[in-house]
Amino acid sequence: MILIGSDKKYIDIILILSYLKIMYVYFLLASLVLKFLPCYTLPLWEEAEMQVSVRSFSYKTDHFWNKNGRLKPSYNDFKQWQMNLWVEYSPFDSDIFALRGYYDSIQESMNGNTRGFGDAEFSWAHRIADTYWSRVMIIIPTGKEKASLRYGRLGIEADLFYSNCFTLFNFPIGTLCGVGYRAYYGFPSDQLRAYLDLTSHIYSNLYWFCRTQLEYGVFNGKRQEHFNQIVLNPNYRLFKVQLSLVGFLANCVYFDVGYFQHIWGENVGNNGGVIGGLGVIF
Amino acid sequence: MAWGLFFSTLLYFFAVPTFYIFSTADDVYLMPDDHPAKVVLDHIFSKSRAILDTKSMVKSGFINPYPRKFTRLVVTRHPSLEGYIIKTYLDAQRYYKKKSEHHYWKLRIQGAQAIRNFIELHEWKDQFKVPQKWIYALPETPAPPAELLRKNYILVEEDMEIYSRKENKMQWASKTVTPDLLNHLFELLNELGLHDCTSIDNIPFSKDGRIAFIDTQTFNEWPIDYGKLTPYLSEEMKHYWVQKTKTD
Repeated sequence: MILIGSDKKYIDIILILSYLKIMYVYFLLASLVLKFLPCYTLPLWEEAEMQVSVRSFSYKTDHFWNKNGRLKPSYNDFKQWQMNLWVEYSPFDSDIFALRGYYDSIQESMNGNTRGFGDAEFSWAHRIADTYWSRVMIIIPTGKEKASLRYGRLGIEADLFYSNCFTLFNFPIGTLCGVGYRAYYGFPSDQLRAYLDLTSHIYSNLYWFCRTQLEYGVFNGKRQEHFNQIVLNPNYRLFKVQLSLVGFLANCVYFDVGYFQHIWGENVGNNGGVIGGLGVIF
Repeated sequence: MAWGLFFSTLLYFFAVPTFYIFSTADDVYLMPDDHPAKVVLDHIFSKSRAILDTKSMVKSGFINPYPRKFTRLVVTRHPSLEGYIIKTYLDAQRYYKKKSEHHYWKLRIQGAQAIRNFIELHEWKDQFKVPQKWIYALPETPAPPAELLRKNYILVEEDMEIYSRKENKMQWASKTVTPDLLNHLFELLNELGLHDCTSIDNIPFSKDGRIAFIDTQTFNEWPIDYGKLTPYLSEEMKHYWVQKTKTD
């Protein structure tokens, strides 16, 4: 359902509130379940002051899910390679400042090559109580809108996270779940976001990490201004899963390698890709 | 109520677009019904959705129908359309610079007409030529999948029978290029603002000895980078061209 136009603002608010209610219930349930489970020591990097990581992922597909969630051929071979830079700084136990920027190189058989910097993200996460965190993120445009590369629009996201740990069949597992709302004010569509991270030891310096992420467009973005079936459609929805191995090479250097897969979507490419990177903790 | 019905019927016939988003004023660009190529085009494009992607183009018999590097334009030929070149965008492509395909076809026809008028005015037909161009409206069916950005028009133009890239380079470096030719070329480029026509790929020599203007999309656009042509000229003409473009 696309809701556009100032005359439909009343309906927009009702719909968005109903989405938020669903996500809030999901969040409450998850945090309540996790709250009563026994704890274990969280991974090393949670206690660090500064962290810098460089991560790349590659993705390719020639199919997409249309607006009804049906898988369709795109008749366009799409290949993407992205290099991400993350910098996180934690001056206090209760605050984390993070900056993320990325460079994309995209090859499309029908639309040629596109290269450049995507929109950057600056965030501030604050511990509000015990294991609850809030986060505010600003999406900073690094240039004009460019198909497949960036929206080129200022946005803001507010999230609420709950972190805890529990044991499952004697295996200690750390978890982080969260919900949020990303607003762009007209283009592209606002999004409800939900996150669930799980991690645990394999050996002393080796962990597995699993992330599930939902990006649920509320479809209030302008259509056709930025036509794209695979990435950065103004109105899209995506549920994806990532599985990674994280290992420490030394006390302060870590690597991660993994695979991500798009599980379900609307107006977005399917398939998956590999992800890998290196990080340093100070 | 009867008057209401009468006026609403009138409104339907005059307000509804003649064909997609083409206004009646743009009909001059459309290929006439009695054009010799129209029957062949109707046959090719009614059998299947030929411009869906490159595979469908190949299947329909088009030769080398691959998007060009920068403009993503497909320039191709068909064995049944001797004497004509087809330029098109594919349904699987985004709009180039967010403008629909017919916007560019109209520009190319307007540019070609401006060049043609200039050549005729100065009586330079023995030195330069420009192809006749027409917009062909694709039939409504067969239609592409609804998710794609449907293209409704292709551009058909006369084949100028140009030399190959290698032969063209040789022509530009030969004695065929005289000061008189360069003077006239300079005047054409300068007066009409043919920003892209200093590349020899866009003004190749054809087999009848004339220079053909085959990329007519960009006009009334200055400044002109005359230096693009210089490397391809003979030593004598290089010097002449540099002096000509420096002083004028």
